[in-house]
Amino acid sequence: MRGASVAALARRTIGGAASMVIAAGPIETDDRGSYRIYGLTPGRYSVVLLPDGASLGTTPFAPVYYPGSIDADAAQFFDLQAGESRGGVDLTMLLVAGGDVQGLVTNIPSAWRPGRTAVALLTTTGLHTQMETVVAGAGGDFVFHAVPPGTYQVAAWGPLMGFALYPGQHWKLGSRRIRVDAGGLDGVEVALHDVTLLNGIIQFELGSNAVRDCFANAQLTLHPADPIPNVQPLRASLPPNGRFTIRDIPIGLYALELQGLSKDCFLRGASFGQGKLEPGPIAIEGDGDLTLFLSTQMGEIAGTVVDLDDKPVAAARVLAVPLSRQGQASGIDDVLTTSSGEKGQFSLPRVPPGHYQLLAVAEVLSIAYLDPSYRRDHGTVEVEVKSNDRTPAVLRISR
Amino acid sequence: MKRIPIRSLETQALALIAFFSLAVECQARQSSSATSDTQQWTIEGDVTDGTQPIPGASVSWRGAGPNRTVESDGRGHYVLSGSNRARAWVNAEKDGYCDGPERVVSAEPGARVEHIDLVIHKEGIISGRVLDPEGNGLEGAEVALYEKVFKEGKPGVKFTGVSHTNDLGEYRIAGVCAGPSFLFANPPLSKPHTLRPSPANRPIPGTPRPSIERRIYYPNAESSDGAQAIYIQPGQQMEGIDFQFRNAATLCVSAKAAADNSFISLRGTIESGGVPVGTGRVDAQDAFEICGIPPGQYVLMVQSMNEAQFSTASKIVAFSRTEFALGKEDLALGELPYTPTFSLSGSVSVAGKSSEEAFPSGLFVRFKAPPDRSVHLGESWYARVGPTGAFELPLVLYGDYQLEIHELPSGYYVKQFTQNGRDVRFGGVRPELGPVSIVLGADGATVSGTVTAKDGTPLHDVLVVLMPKQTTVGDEILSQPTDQDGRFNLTAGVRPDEYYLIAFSGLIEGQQQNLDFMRANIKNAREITLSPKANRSFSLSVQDAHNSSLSAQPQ
Repeated sequence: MRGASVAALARRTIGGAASMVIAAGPIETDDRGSYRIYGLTPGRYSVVLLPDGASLGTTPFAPVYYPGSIDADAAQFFDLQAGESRGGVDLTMLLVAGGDVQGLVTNIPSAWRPGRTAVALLTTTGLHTQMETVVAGAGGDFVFHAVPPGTYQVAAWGPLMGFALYPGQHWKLGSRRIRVDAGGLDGVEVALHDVTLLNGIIQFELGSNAVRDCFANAQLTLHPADPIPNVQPLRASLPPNGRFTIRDIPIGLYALELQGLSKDCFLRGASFGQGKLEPGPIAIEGDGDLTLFLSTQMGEIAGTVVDLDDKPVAAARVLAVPLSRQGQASGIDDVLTTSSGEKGQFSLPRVPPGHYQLLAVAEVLSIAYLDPSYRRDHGTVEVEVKSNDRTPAVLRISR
Repeated sequence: MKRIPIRSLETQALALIAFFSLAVECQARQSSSATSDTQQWTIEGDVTDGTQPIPGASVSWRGAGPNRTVESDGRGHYVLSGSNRARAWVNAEKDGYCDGPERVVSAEPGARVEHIDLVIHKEGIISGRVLDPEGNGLEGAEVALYEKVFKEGKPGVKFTGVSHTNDLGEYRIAGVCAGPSFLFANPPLSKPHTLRPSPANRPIPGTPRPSIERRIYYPNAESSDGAQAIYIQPGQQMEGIDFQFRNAATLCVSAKAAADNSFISLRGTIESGGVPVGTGRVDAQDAFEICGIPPGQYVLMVQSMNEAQFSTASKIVAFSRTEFALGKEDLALGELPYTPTFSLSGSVSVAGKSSEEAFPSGLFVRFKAPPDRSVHLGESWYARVGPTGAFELPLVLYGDYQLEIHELPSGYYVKQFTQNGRDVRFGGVRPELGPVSIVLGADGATVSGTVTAKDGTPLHDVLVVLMPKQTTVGDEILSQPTDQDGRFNLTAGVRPDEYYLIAFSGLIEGQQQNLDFMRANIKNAREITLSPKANRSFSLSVQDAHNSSLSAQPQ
């Protein structure tokens, strides 16, 4: 299959939930249907054949997970070692019966001429991706053909000019979750809403010392809880005065990712408008102010690494993988590490509060520990770290 | 696979232009066919590879009304139908095949046009490796396939394929069609890095550092003069077309942007080959440096955006262009210019007509893209001409442009094109110098006729060229391919003047605008004088470009 998009998949924890993310790619298959994805850090991966669903006029299909299923849970993952070149990771296109999904976009401004509203069908399980995009008819009507049974998000937005968003115009987006059975689905109504403008400010938590350069290199990204079209990245760099703006945010629930904070501080939580400080995802319901609360009040994890006979293990690597902390990314930079001492003892003295999975290994040979299923298979210990508190742990060394 | 991406804000300016061009063209064509009959025309023919039928090929019609596409049947036969009177283009394409040449077809309502046969050939494949000077695969190199053509009458290139090397240095270009093609390879682009005061980690300024060449032509030639043509047969797979870069002494250039959110693009000047060298984002607070540049002539372009993140409110606020020569030492350019954007207005009038008389509808003006840069986000490249003849391009970047007027109605031509009293018809529009004025003539001539072989057989898809006798600019040369009956009909843009009229087959793309080529062939041309509102018809025989006295190959 020529010109198909293939991506390497990894599993990560985002906003406290296990999610699939694209680790590399997508890249296009050549005239032979061959692909090659390279530069992968040793770790645990799968591959996926992606629809070109963000484009108009392409043949839609559901993502196909290796070795050949549209069910994300059936994706086979494999460990890739340093220097390994794994061939024969072939994907096969599937023929799956499906029905039509028909509906109507409402709240389209009368000033929008026909052809200004795009409607996308997005997957909600596995990798969140656009399966198909169509242009709504003059009355806002739309139809997706041959949609396999499953749960999807339908999102509509505009105004389009040609094939892109109309520059300088206030655009709108609406979306809803649908369940499609074998016979398809009729009467899906999607109402457009204004996108919002978020003015942000950074504050330090009471009792924390404002740390210079804490967020000098930080970048905030909003991760929507429900999949939305890949219209534009929702992110902002944080300037020295701590005030920032993100435009064109569809209303909805978002997890915050704050990358690039110095090791001296962490994101305690955020509040939107007059709302209270939320340690988890925040609901953005219109134009408003977002306050990010940074803190320097860390906790500590301390304990011992032992073997199967409960004997102390020296020089083991200890990994603390954050789970659900607000603003927490799921990358390698967010994992705290140390080594055990002669008597197996270890200490991680500056740990942002939150839930962690702890793992002890003889050697770190890959980043497979970022994969929640890997951690589950390797007997991790889950702990909660609190500010100004010491959390004890005994870790049994893993294979 | 036809793809229309709708997600990228970064590229939406380009998409908008494409869309507007389509929209304007469609509107004009639809309005011109408002009198069309409701009777259907049909166009039919066979798609073959020259001998065997090709089932499943997409056959497209581009002309009046919406585009149409049908699929050839099991015998390679296709039938298109429509109702608009039109002179349009028909072509065939299929995955794994090179697109065939377009056929020009005229169709009247009720007509049945047969034997519009289309030939497509299996694509060829070129593959190989790009190696660094040590013989290791070079990742991220760009390999481009091109043909030599003419652009605006001057020798130029047309890119027909591109591939980037993988981690093994391998590349593979599919869709290679018959005919002479050439290849070059560029190493990955350099990125600007911030200059920090850390002398211990810096090489001594002014000393060339070993690096590699910025471009090599197959087979490992330093310049396009040494490039060797590759001839591929339909379906052929040509492997082992390898490149190996050599070490070259290179230098660094440093500079400082005048504004935050600036994107730089460093490349060789067009005269020196236009080789891209580096690109990246820089901010105003830090000086930056780009290294790995061989001595030569370069241009550094900077576009500054109004905000750090791309959004619907993103727009370019300043643009600068700095040319410099790099000799034997590193160069510090200092702070780069900051030139805000302009708006450019203009007016179109018709000579001899009062403002009360009807003004031609559907006109639009468009900048001809500068050869060394792409369209930037939000940049104005076209404008509709309003009912009073006024137009405005609200966001124009600093530079020197050629402005063109499109969709002239029959009998109209450009009589005068000025800015501040200067003649800018063929370039020299500068946005900072105020409004432009275009005067159209409405007493243009019409030239029509038929091209036939010696035995009187009409010749289709032959290029008929109308060249003003006194012209010094290739842009003034008009041309049109003949339809299935050998007919041509030049109705717009023909000013009353003395001309050469000639028909060619076998021209390289754009060759008819090359003055040297044309002058070498005018001995075979028909000399004609067109008076105001003249309507002349001619019967022509064809001149084969391959047998002309001038080499058909651009250099």
